[in-house]
Amino acid sequence: MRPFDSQKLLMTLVILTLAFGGTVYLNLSEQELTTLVVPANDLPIYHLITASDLMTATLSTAVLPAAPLQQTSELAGRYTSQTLTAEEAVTDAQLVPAVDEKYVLNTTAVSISATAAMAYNGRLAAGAMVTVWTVTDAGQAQPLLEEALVLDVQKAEGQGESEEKAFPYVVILAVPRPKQAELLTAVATGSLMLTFTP
Amino acid sequence: MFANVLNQITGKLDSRFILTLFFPSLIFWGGLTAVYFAHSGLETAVTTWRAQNADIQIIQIIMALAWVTFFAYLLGNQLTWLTKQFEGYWNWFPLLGKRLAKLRQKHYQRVLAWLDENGRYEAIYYGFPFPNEPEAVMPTRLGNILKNSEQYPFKRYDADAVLLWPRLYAVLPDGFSKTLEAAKASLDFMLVVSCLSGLFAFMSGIYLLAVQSVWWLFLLCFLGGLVVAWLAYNGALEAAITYGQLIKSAFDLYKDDLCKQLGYELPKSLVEERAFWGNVYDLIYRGEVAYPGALRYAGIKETVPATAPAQPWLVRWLQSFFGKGETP
Repeated sequence: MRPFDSQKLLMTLVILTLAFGGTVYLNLSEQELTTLVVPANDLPIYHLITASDLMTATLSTAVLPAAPLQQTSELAGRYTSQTLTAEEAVTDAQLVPAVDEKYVLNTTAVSISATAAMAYNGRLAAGAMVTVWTVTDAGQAQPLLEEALVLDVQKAEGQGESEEKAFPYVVILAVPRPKQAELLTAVATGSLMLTFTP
Repeated sequence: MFANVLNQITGKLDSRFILTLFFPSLIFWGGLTAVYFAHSGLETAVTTWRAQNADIQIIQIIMALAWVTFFAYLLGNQLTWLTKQFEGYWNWFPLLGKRLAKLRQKHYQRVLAWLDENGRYEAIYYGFPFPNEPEAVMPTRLGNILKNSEQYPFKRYDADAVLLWPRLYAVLPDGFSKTLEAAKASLDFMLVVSCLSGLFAFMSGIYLLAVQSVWWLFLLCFLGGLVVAWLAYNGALEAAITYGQLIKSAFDLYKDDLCKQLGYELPKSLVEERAFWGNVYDLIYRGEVAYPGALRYAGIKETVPATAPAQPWLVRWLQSFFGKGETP
């Protein structure tokens, strides 16, 4: 019979012991639980989170992301910047930066195609407050919407190449509901400009 | 964007370097980064990345690829050392190295003896030193395969493979050297993958234990990495057999070309040939030979130097004394 390789068997046993030991250790450490606030249901993108969207859950620290938000006050009144999964911890990066409640109450997310100049060449970011200007037929600029919250700025995708060259960005604004129609009309005429104070 | 930057960088590099060192390094570091973000939040990382300015993204990609290229170059410079570790040259490792090597060597000596007793000559031919030299047995299977190819020219022609190989390689025809390079590249690739997979298993395993990650991710990375390392090592053994056989063939087929290139006459018998290569070894290694007659320069004929013709003025002067004779 071919000589038995006892050292190889020993090595295999050591590796399996390490794997098993590590698994047991992690399973035991998963028992460390923490209680925090999480979405009760899946929340869509650009959704204004209210207290009714939230619930308290006890989760294992092993499955938590770095720096999760824990209190209702840290989540309620803020917009989601991506889809949130039910009963999973939320981080600051998944939400639009916190702003005064008055800028988000009774608003709707409206996206507008933006030129490089309008999006400050990509430097305009979520959380910024902008003024939307429209230009009249007489060539006069007038503020259409003051202090509108920027929910997100994305690179334009899925349009024609020429369209993407002309409007390389999409800016999503929290627009007060009464102003929606006026803004959409201005978008259709294509005479918009954004300004913001850093 | 990533593909463009990658194309520009890899376009400047040698294709063997890219396949053997760059891509395994890229996957290794990509895997470690993925493990890091899998724990700290993959979605958050993607969101943060997308939110960044395009210039910053490009700089980050360039920095990452520059690091991977630098790492691959370092790895390339250590490839000989790495191969030696897979062969079983562990004496440098304090305390354990020598003992472990001795233990493994004893095991393979027992295997070799068993193969010899049971007439498994094919296994010996491809993967072990000669059975009558058990002290040449190495502590690993790869070491034994390569030792086998190293021993062959010495046993057959009394030619030292290690000393003569750089010279023989220089006279190999293009077709053969390309085949040899491909076999070596395959061996290097498998060894690099095996090494990096093992490293990945331990680095990611330790990190995931330290941050108390989920158990299944730890198990996947640790055991997955080790399984890939083991598979790649087995692949390296196959590649080493091919490489070893090519080295043997190179000595069989092109040693005469080397002999001519060195400027010597071809030996006429096996006895002469063994004496010839033994003396070449002495000449290269010690600068002197025991039997100089074994090394005969090719194309040299012993001739009597011709007498220089007399000067015309001397001829005329002699003729004035002795009269005109036949012109010499």
